[in-house]
Amino acid sequence: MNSWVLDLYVQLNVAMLLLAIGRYWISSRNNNSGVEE
Amino acid sequence: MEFYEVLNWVLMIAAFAVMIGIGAISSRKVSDSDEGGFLLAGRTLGPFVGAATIVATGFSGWGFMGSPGVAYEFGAIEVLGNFFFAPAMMVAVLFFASFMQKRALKMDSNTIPEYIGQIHGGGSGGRLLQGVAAAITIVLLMVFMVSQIKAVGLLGASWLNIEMTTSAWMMISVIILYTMWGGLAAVAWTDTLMVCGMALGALVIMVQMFTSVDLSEWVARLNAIDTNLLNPQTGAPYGSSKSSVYLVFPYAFLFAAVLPYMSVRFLAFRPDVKMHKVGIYVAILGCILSLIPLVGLYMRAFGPELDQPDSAMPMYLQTFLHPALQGLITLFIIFAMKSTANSMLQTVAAATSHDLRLALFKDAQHDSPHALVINRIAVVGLGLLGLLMMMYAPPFMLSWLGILGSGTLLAAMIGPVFISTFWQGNVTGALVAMLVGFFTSGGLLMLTDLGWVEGPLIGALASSVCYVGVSLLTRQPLAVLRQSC
Repeated sequence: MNSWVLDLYVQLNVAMLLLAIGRYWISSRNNNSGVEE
Repeated sequence: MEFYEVLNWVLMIAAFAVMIGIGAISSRKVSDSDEGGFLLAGRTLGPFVGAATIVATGFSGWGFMGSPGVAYEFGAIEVLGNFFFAPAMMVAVLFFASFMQKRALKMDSNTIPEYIGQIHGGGSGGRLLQGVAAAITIVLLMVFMVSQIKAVGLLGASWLNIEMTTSAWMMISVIILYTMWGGLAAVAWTDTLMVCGMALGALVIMVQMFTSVDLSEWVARLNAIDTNLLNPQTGAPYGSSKSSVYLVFPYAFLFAAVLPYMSVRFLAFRPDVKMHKVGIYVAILGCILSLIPLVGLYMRAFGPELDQPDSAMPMYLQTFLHPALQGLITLFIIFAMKSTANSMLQTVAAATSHDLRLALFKDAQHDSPHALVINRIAVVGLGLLGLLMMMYAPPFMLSWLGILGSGTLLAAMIGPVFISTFWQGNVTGALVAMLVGFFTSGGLLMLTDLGWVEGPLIGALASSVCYVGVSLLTRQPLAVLRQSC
């Protein structure tokens, strides 16, 4: 996009969504295998 | 009256009717025998409603009105700065909320000042802390609430073509009515409706902007005006260094985790709700709402030249959207302001009717038969007081005092709310931390040129050091005394 600020904005948005999905996936897996969070 | 003006009135009446209906339905959560029903929605918030009320409260009218203006003036750095509130809220939900929720549930805390009092051992020291925390909350949030009432009154007046005072009366009356009826449940459920509207509004705006122009032309036009708009060499308006903008993230995290009108929502979740589900909703809603400041960049590239950057959003709506859509989006912006104002009213009322009552009167009881009436009277009284303050306070002070209110409250509360959840200090440490945070942040904001992010963060640091340091220093002599006994 030729803008370091907007590039960073997009990357951080992706990172935020990945962190939320990753945390969800890890917690769901732990719950399914009976591990207490 | 023009057709679109009638349409705006119809939209407003329909929205208000739905909100009052939600208030009536949510009043089922309220009972005479359990104050938690009114103050914490009976601890029944599910993942989506909980996430929606956190995001709606966190993204105030600033995101729709102020932030596009800053982006118009300073460029893309505001898009990044405003965005940091989204990950900060998500991190607070994922990595802090459940700790606080579990401790509050164990102690049966109904408010943040009560949580502060109980986590520091309760008793007379706890009551003192509860009272001081409530007093600081009331003073600082009343100021912030007045600025929100003013903002929603001004926008409503131009939307409906009526007097500002009449508009503010209408807007606050509806908030008072449903908050009095259903307490936090009504606030959370109406927030859910409103954040859906806000997200829809953001998506409509994005579709209009991205389908109407070519992205490369957008970039070329902005670079032709000023290359600093897309590639800033400084962190202005956040500070002189580029890295200043990153300070918004810790600020926003503390905003979400520590401010009583935000963190009280963690206490209201249903105990079996998994925070990782809440985190997903917060991330999605935050992602959508963080797009709004792009309007400022669009207006700078394609809109008419503006004398006042703050008019970027109103002028965008007027210039680029159909009048019917313009009315609808304005309603959603009013939603953004109301969803913050109602949370503040609920928190200030709870601090007055619940916390001050328990702190000042030793024999006052939890869940007494009169508590619900007192809580409801506090909502009405403080709502009307906010309205009167708005009418008679000097206008120039309001926005500035709004900034002072939230930042200083954050600095005052970090020790007793955030640090205490993981490391428990004592009453003296908490008391000193609250006062040091209050005066450091307030002093820096009032007496120096430090920005709205830096002043509160320095205050928060000073408060944290005092919380730990004073707690350790005042704990030692007691331990020695006990040993010698």
